[in-house]
Amino acid sequence: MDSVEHYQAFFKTVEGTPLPWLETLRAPSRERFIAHGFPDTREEAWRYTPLRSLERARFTPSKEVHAIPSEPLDLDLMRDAYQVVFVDGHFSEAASCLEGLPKEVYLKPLSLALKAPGEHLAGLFENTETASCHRLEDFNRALFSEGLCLDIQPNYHLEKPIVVLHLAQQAHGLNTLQHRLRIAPGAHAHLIEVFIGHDDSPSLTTSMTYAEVAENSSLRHVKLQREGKASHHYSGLRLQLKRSGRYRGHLSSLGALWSRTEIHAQLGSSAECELEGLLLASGRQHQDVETRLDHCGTEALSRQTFRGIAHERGRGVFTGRIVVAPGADKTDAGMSLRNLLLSSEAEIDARPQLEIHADDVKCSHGVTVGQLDEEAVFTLQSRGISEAEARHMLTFAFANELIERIDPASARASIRDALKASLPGSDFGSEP
Amino acid sequence: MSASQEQIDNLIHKEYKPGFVTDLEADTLPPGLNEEVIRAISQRKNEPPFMLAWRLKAYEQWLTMSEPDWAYLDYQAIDYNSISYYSAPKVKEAPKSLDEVDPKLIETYKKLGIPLHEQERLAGVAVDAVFDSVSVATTFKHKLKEAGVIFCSFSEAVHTHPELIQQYLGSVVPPSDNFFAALNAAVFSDGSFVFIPKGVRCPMELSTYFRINAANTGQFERTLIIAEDYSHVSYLEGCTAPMRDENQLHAAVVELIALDHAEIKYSTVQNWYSGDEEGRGGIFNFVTKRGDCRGRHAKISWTQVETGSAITWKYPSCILRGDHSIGEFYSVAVSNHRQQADTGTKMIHIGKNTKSTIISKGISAGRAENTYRGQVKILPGALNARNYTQCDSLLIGPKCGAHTFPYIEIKEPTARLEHEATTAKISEDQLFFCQQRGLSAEDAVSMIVNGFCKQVFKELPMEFAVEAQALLGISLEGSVG
Amino acid sequence: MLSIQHLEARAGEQAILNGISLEIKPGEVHAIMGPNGSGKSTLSNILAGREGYEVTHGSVTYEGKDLLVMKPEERAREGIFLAFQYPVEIPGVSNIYLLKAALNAIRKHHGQTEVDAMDFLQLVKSKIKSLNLDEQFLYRGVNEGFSGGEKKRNEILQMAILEPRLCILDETDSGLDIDALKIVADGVNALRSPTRSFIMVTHYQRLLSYIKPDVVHVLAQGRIVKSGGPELALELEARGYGWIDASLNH
Repeated sequence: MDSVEHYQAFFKTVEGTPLPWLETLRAPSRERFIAHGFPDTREEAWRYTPLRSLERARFTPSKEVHAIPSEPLDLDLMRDAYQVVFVDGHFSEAASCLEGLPKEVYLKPLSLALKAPGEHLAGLFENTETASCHRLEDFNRALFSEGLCLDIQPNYHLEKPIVVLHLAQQAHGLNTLQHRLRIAPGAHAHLIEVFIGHDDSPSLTTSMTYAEVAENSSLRHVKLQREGKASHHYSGLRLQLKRSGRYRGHLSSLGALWSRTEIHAQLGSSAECELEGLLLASGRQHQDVETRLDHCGTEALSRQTFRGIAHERGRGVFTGRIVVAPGADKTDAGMSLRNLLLSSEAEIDARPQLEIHADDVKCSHGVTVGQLDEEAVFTLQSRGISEAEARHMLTFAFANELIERIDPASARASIRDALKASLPGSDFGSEP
Repeated sequence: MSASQEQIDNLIHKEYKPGFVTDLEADTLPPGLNEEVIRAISQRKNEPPFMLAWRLKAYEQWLTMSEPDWAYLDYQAIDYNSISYYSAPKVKEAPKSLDEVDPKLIETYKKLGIPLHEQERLAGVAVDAVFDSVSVATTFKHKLKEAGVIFCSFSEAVHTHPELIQQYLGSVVPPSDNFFAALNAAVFSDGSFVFIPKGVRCPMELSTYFRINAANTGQFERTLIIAEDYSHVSYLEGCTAPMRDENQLHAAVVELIALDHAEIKYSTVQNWYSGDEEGRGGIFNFVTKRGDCRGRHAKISWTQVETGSAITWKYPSCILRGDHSIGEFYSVAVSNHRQQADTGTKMIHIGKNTKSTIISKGISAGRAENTYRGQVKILPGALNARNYTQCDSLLIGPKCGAHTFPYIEIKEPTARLEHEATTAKISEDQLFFCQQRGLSAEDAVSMIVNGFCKQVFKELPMEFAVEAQALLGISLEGSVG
Repeated sequence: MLSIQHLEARAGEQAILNGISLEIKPGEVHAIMGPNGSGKSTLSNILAGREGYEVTHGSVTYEGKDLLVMKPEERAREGIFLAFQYPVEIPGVSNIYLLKAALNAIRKHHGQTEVDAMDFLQLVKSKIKSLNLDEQFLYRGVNEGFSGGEKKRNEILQMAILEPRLCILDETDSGLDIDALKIVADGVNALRSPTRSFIMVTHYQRLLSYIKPDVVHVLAQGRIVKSGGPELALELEARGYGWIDASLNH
């Protein structure tokens, strides 16, 4: 049985299929996936990211009854936040906490929302482009059965962050989630997503997030991917920034054996989009980040700052495309990518791209690939620090410059800890 | 439309002076491509059997390949059977000296600013003049021979130096490299051949001037330059074609080989007819140019000023195989009206301590699309490899496009790479500043565009720098001070 | 030489100049002082012909001609020189090239022949010495990578070469340390002559200690609210712009 046939068997089991609008959404994706299967490296978008290991494995959706955390989840960053926990792709009511949610905020796991589908739910799913998808997005859409639905009323500022924790613990589990966010005009939300898993249980998590950030509203977002060492991870963010909408996101990809993060944003007039992220590829990890920012309106601003570290046999892949539509004058778009390549078997591939169809613009990108500054290593050594520790400190410092800007402090600490644990020479644990 | 916009338009709406047709009798093969055509070309050139075999093999490969579609180009499919693959001015006998060359041809080159008679020749530049499918004259042959340099048409070299041809032909760009390289290998009709022996510094600039004249004909030339150990050569290439409403195909291949401590500097001013304002006519320019730094401390430097052609698909590249070898790419690509250019370079670092520099300046105006596409690949073992890339795009008008698609692949942990790209329009502040100092808007634009391109122009040999700047309607800055 | 009558101007919806009248005779040095946002730089820009402003009322006559209908380069060729507050960088265009092109454009306008290359080089070299600039300076791109002080000195160099009749110095003192300020002031003083006039736009009195004005005007809310001799600048320095505001509110 080939991989397409394997997954085809699960298509029928997907919950919510009887809803006509949901079926309208799924059907084209399902057909495309059956027709084309998984992408391969002959496709430009997948040139540097082979899916062989993903295709060879046969993942299976877990049963909901088994979806109970095997140990208590107590992460610092979950304190003082609304908590939504998904275990093996299923909502875990016991581990979640949505107490004290204001009435202006509709926040529900999809499985519960589907039991009482109302205007919120349909509204969150309308206006979804179905004519074309980005390959694994099709796979996700054909299979998703769970996710987060968030709808915030106009002018409501939800100060307390929403922490969404994804735990993958079942070996060979297939976890397919789709999240829908709508931040109404003038509203504000703060979303923190964390993906964790067991190192010894290979799994595949695909997680698509569709977010509409309306006029003058704002969304802050932190995503930390630290899945288990044997897992596969695919996540996509599709962002609509309306006039003067603001998005600020930090997306770090530290875990998983194979990981791809896609961020596609459409910027309306005067919108602002700020993206930051870290890629860390060690062992035999493959870390791929792909961004595409479409400047559709005038006077929109975008800034992207990414840093990549590849060591051992890791491979870091970054693609960042800035597209400026005709007439999108006064666009100001900048992208910067800096990489550290630390071993002879590691690799960095980068494709920064500019596609400009308007003239009154200011666009730029910059990429560097290099090593630690040997002068700095020597300076530290001359102060009595071992070479290995010096390298660890400097590598950490390279990444930490981005982490320092993460809000809130609990998320910052969490990413910092994850980074420390994954860096070469992690036994040093030096404080910055 | 603001005053400055008008000036910009005036600047870029220059008349295409080389757009005339020379009326002469030609020996032209009927349109179509098949084995017979290839045999006919080989026969007309009286080639040895190894060449015919090589061509036929390339043709076989070509039949299995498909036209690349990854470039940012949009054009009507080319019907390869509607093109004639060979056209040459009719002569009873091959001219033995310049005096026997058809005066119409001499006149044509004179009109193009390329005098072939040695008494009025470009000082210090030897010229190989290629007209449609054949080389019509090569100047300064004797002076070069004294220095040990071989500079002749490709057809001649096949007869006089078959061993060099057999050794090097296709060794940098094999026919199987890509669709257009395979097509060229099958049907190429002439081109230039350069051989600089060990330790020789070529005493003058060498140049080839390519001219398309015949209608419905493709031009497929092939240039091969070999620089032996410790040798040096600077080579220039220019191209023009008449103005016609139909598109014409030009698919050339250039191979450069630099051995130990050898240096090849290859400069191009490409001014093929670009089509009219509505995009009618113009040359489809699909070119494969590659240099192989085979020896230690070898250096290959590409400089190009691309102003013509309706479609440009061209990526002059360097394979940095020898330790300490150096690759350079300096490019100005101007596209206007409905021109489309997808051009850039590849730098493949294999040897230790190899270095590459890429400076690309794209200028896009009218409804044109201008794309930089480049690849920097640093392979494992290319210790301390270095690359610096800078790609800047200047936009003139709201309807054009400027795109930048670099590919960076680094597999060596001692390598360092720096890549920067910017896209912007001419700044109002710069324009106003120049005007406040008394310059007209037109001069101000020229000056700013010239400044934008300066890093590239300064790499060109003097004669070409003048031509290149004139092409942009820019007066020569170097004449001051 | 220059006559400004009831000049009113706006940028977009914002009215910036609200009726300015000013007479400048040959050889005079006028200082225009005022707080931020009073319209000082707008006045300089309008005189030089920068786009983006709309003159809604009044007139500007220069040497008997209507200045406002002239293109920026025509004004420059007629002898108006603006020393910019923020001189722009023009990568790849060398200083000496710009100077020569500008000088020839002006000479041509006056029916003169192009300047001889050797004479020109000598002229430029003598001028840069007096401004304490290195000769290499000439071959660098216009303001490319220059320090703030170098940019301002470069403006004065251009002024010295082009020999304008009316020099407008827009906040030329801003960002200069005392040594650089002295060099710039010496450069300006050397150019003073009975036929050349100056408008110095400045926020501080400091520059006026080095370049003595004949008349000082105080600009506020787009109007000249006070005019006087050099002593007015000192008074302003001592009492601050609040003094002007207070007198306005009466």
